[in-house]
Amino acid sequence: MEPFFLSSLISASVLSIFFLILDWRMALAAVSAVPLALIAFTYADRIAQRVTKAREESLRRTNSLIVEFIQGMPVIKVFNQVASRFLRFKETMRDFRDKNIRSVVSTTIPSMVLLTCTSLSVAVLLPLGLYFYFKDSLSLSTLVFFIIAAPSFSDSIAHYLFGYMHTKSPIGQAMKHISNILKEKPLHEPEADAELKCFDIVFVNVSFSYNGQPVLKDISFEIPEQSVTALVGASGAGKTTITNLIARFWDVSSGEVRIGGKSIRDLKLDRLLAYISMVFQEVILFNDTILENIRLGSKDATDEEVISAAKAARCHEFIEILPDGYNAMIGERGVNLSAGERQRISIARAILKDSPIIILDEATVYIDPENEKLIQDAITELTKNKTVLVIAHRLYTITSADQILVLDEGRIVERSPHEELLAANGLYNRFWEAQKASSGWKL
Amino acid sequence: MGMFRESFFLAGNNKNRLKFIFSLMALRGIVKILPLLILYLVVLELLSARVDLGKILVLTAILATAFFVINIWDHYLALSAMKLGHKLSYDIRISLSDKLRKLSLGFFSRRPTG
Ligand SMILES: Nc1ncnc2c1ncn2[C@@H]1O[C@H](COP(=O)(O)OP(=O)(O)OP(=O)(O)O)[C@@H](O)[C@H]1O
Ligand SMILES: [Mg+2]
Repeated sequence: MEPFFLSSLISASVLSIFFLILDWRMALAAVSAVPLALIAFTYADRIAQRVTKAREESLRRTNSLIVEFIQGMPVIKVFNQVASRFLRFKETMRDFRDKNIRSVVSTTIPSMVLLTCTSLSVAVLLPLGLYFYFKDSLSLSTLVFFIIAAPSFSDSIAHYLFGYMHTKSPIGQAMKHISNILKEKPLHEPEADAELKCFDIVFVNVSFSYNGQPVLKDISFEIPEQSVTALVGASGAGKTTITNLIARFWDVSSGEVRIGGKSIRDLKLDRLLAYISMVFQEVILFNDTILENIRLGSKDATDEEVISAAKAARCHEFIEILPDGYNAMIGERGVNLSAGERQRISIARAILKDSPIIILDEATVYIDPENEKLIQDAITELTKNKTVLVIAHRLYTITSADQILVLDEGRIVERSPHEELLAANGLYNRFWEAQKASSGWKL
Repeated sequence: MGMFRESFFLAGNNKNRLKFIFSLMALRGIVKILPLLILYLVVLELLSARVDLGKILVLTAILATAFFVINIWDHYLALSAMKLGHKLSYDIRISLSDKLRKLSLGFFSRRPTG
């Protein structure tokens, strides 16, 4: 951001004042080129804006296509789509290249016109000045001054308009964009709040929609402190949505979520999130060492604390045998971890955080029985004496939960412990029978 | 000028520093004219009946000094504008990340990425 054109503007104005004081006729002649320059400039500006916008849209398309292309590479390969996908890729890149060239051209041609227009003032000044001089109505000194100053003057004008054009389109638009985000209203947060002493979770008549699409309908339930509640339901029933509402990733459409008897809207976001550990359905690991990835749970934890969390989460064994151990990099150019190992790392994070509320969104992916056993051990370690909400896909993992909520199309249709639900012979029982039949596990 | 208002909004705590830079820039615009005026005085002297060489020498010295000062000024201005620019974009990035953290996730699904 270099608005040097501000000083050009000032130079031009001060000079024109001098011009006026010395000789008004000559002053008029000097500024005569300005309207012309302005017209050329406005026209150029309009074109530049259109072209810049087209270029930016093309850039956005290019960026998202690159991300998609790379992320989707396995799918593209497996379905033998490389050629057709690549064609689209090429097309988008070509479009971006052309838009770039056009944007440069469309800003250089008008600026050339601009420069020509502003330098025209000298061509007007010289003959006019000489004419006045020979008619004895202009002193030689004044004429000389105008001729000395005219180039500076037109230079300043051109510089100003030029700088304005170049900063206004891209920088101005970026500035507007950022301002709009900064002005966007944040989630409601109270001025002050107090520590909670109790961590039971209560939903009171909660409804929620994503962009007008209702997902949860008038849901009420209670998770007593230090008890385990399981959420069960078909895919898309709204289980993950419920956990997102507890962490205020979204705000409820109506109703209220309370923790320890207080509406979570009356808690500061940082405090609320400090109370909650989440193990997400999709584990997100960063391109960093294993040590740092676990330390995300609590940024002030010492290495020893991180390692003991890893041990509790049954990670230690597989980390130890990696070439760099805890300093092994994860991700690109690093080690590739299996789904079960990733899950356990995310559990280690949560153990390290040691917060009173635990939310587990169990992965839907199949995990082999050995890993499954390790994960269950890790979860048992994590949920000791905590208030727990667990979303389970393998029902046998939640048979000992204190209560099971069965969700169907955004409503809670059943709520009881496992045995009672089986006896009730409802939706839960159908899920149970279906899973027993499909996996053939022995109880 | 909406653009200036916008820059002050974005500057936040750096508002005063930004004002300082802007006024330096405005002043530079005036100072840049100074050599022209001195040249004008020289021309006046040359055109007068009795040319005073001493006066012309003094004016030339002033002219040289003025160019010297303007160059230093420009350098300083460019440097501090650049420094402020980097500081501003750093601060803006930080406040932006802070803001994004506090927005509901709904905000992100309402706009395209990139
Ligand atoms: N960010 C979003 N924007 C719009 N709709 C969404 C969003 N997230 C989820 N939905 C919709 O809300 C409904 C409930 O989604 P949710 O993720 O809560 O389901 P779920 O019970 O967790 O399913 P699964 O068992 O597959 O994880 C789905 O129909 C889904 O399409
Ligand atoms: Mg889910």
